Amino acid sequence: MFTEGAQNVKVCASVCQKRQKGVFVLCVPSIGVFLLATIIIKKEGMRLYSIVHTAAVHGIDSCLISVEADISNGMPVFDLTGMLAKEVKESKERVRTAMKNCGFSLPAKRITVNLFPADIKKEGSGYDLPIATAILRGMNQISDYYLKDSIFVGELSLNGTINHVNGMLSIVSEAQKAGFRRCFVPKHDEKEGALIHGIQTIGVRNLLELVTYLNKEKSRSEYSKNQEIFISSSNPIIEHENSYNSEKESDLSGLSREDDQREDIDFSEINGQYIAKRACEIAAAGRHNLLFIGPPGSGKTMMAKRIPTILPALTIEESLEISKIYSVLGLIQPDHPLIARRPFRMPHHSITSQALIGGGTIPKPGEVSLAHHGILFLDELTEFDNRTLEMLRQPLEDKQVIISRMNGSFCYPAGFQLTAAMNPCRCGYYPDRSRCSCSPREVSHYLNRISQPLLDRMDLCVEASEVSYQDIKSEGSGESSKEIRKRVEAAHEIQKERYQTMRYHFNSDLDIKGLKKFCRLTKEGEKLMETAFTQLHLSARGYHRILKVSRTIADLEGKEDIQVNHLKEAVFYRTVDKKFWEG
Amino acid sequence: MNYSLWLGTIPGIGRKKIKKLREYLGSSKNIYHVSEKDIDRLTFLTEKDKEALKSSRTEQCLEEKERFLKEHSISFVTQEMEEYPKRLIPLEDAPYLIYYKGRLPREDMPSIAMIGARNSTPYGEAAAREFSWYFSKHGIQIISGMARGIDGASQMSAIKAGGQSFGVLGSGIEVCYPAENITLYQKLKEQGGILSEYAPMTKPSPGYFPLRNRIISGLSDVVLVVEAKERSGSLITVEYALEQGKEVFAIPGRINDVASKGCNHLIFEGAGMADTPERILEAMGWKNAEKGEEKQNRTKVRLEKNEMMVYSCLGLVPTGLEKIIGETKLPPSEILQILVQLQMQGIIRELSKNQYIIEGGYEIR
Repeated sequence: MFTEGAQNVKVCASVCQKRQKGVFVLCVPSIGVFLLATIIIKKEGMRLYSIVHTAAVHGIDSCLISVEADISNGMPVFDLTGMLAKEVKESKERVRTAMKNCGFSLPAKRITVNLFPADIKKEGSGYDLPIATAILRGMNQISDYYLKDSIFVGELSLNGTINHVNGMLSIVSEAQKAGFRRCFVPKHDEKEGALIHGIQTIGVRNLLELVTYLNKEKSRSEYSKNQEIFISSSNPIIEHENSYNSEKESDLSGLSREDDQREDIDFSEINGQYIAKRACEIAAAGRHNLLFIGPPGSGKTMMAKRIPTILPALTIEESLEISKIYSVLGLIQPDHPLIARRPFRMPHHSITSQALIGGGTIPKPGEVSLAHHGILFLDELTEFDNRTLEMLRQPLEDKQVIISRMNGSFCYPAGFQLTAAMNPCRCGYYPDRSRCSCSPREVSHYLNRISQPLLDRMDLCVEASEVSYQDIKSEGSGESSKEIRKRVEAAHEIQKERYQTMRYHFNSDLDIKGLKKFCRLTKEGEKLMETAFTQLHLSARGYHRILKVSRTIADLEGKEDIQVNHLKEAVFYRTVDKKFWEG
Repeated sequence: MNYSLWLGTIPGIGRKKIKKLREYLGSSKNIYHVSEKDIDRLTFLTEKDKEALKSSRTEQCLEEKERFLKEHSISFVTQEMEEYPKRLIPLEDAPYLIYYKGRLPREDMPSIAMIGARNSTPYGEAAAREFSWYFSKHGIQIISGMARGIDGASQMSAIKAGGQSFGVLGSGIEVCYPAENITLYQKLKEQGGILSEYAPMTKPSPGYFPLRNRIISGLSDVVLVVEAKERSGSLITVEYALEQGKEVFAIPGRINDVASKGCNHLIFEGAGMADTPERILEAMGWKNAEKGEEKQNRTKVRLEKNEMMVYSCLGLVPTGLEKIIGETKLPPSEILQILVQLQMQGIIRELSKNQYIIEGGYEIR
């Protein structure tokens, strides 16, 4: 740190002095050293200091970082400062070699590059390009015409090629918010960046292409005076490619938002299972959590996989929000940068809590965030590590995950709809005693792997029963996903209208206050709930869940008031209570 | 000062040795006061036993034991006492000392031992509840082992019916085993009793359970096997019962039902078939019980046509939703409304998710 500070001071001094010309003695008592900086500016009009902007992913958002470079006389050194991670420190060698191979040899001078603000840890590989650009500007190889209102992001190969960087969507969106006008990004990420309106995204393949682009506004003569100092005679690797990207406006219509054509699965493929399918519909309509219980091979997974097909298509905002999360993890396909389909995440039960919730030394979003606006499906719920499952409780309530680390806290959205499946006992056939040989103790032990608080958070619970031969034989007689989706969409519309001015989005978000306001019961309904509460031993939370679900059932029917039959249906889907799971 | 308590609690001296001691020396009081020389002459005792016998003959030791039992409100009865259950007296291997909480079974009331598998099916448990309810309403005491499954179901039902039930433990009387039956344990103290021949703090051990079965069968007039597999602990009780000359009945199961194989086999071998609880009453000639009362106690429920259709699909074997849909051909949305309605009336029960059985004690019309 000490040397780094000293370095900064020295460079600052040199920069200040460049304008005034002369010899100064600088005293820096605070760090207890005296530094003598003697700078003699040889060439007039030649600016050896430059600043270039870039951005880095922080959580799923980005923060702006500036890269300044200074070239001064002295021992030929290339220094990088500003709280850098290892991969950023290594950038020095990549930049030097890439520049050399593109025909720009570093001058035999003291080159200092600083990244600020210095209190943010610089991680990731996107700093190569801005560092190279800053040095090129310092070498006066490029015009500063674009530099002020541009963002540069990219990783350099040794031959000058600009490689892919994760989180481009987040970076470009941050740049747009901060008022930048264009982004120079790797060609690979161009389409991804182009998703953001109001900012121009320019994909560049290699360093030379960038240089050519930056220089095209000004005539070459203006800066060619000093060129011979830096440009080496040979240019072995790169062939000149003067085709740079035409300045097209970013535009979403060009990107395929194929919904229907990609749906190769459909609810009509499931025969029988009327009630389970109905539960899926209700769950989708109110974004409720759903638990399937049933013997092996009864189609629990099959149904869960089809829930996204009955959810309404994503809006552009939702799509962008999801794409941003995927972009940070590098899960975006360059040709289809926009995630247009509802996410369906199905992590294996060996998943760690970090992978599920998010985390790591450099925090990364977990499965709960990847399932944002979509479905998180936990198959074989009882096989998951208990501690991992308990961690779901907080994101289920808050719809977001906050991860705190030494260098800041990160907030990831986690508005997922939980769908889970489990067997009723270890062998899977309880309470069919002809096939299940589990003792009552084993059954309760199996169920005890899931805590009651988590079970209580499942709004709907339904049995997926074994399929009969008749059902297997019959040709997909059930409704298609499209028909169900129409009803779900209508229910979503009703909720959208109702909660317009509120902070709720769906019935499942309702809290006690919201329940009182929107889930008023008729006299009959209250009487029914009273009986249900005592007779069926409901908990307070269970009671509220039933109200929420009945609100959704009423919405599906387009009814203003919750009626008795809605309540009864909701009671039917109530979650299991372990206490009463006994023979 | 109770000498028989002293005799019953000497470490290392069990019921066989006590029996011999009493044959040689007479009552416990005599044994307490007999000279050491006489004790040394007893050949069937080991040196260790003799030492234990001699050293425990202090008043302090006896008082301590009495105080302990008082503190834990444990009562006891020995063969030398008036209250000793008459039914146990003829037994070859009757326990000398029995600890109990609550009270002992009444001699003037008939008693039935209801036994069966711990790993029971809903069918077995429902049958246990049904029979036990009926017996309790007819003033019959239910004797069982307070175990999981059939035992617990029968006894709990007897308690709920307001009857008397007695649990014979395979552990010390202070130990509630299995722990989940703690409610039953508490209730039995009020409506019946808990009995054990083992020292109050004895931990349950596999060896103890078959032995206590002789007390279960011994205390009852009839042994009813509710549900037993081909190889089942209940059959040990049946053997004791036959030795003791008690009547054995079994509740039949379906022919392909593994859980009822043992019962069906018993019936084949000559046990009485108990398809209804009345059958046992008739066979035993217990006509004194008022029949009318039982019928009155059933809650009458009137169902609508569709409700009846759904209800009649259900039985004592858990029935899934798809089956109900298939049998009634009613629209699923209506079926689930009906199922919720029936559940709230309490006449059916959701066993695990969307698996239903009917509840006993209702008269459906």
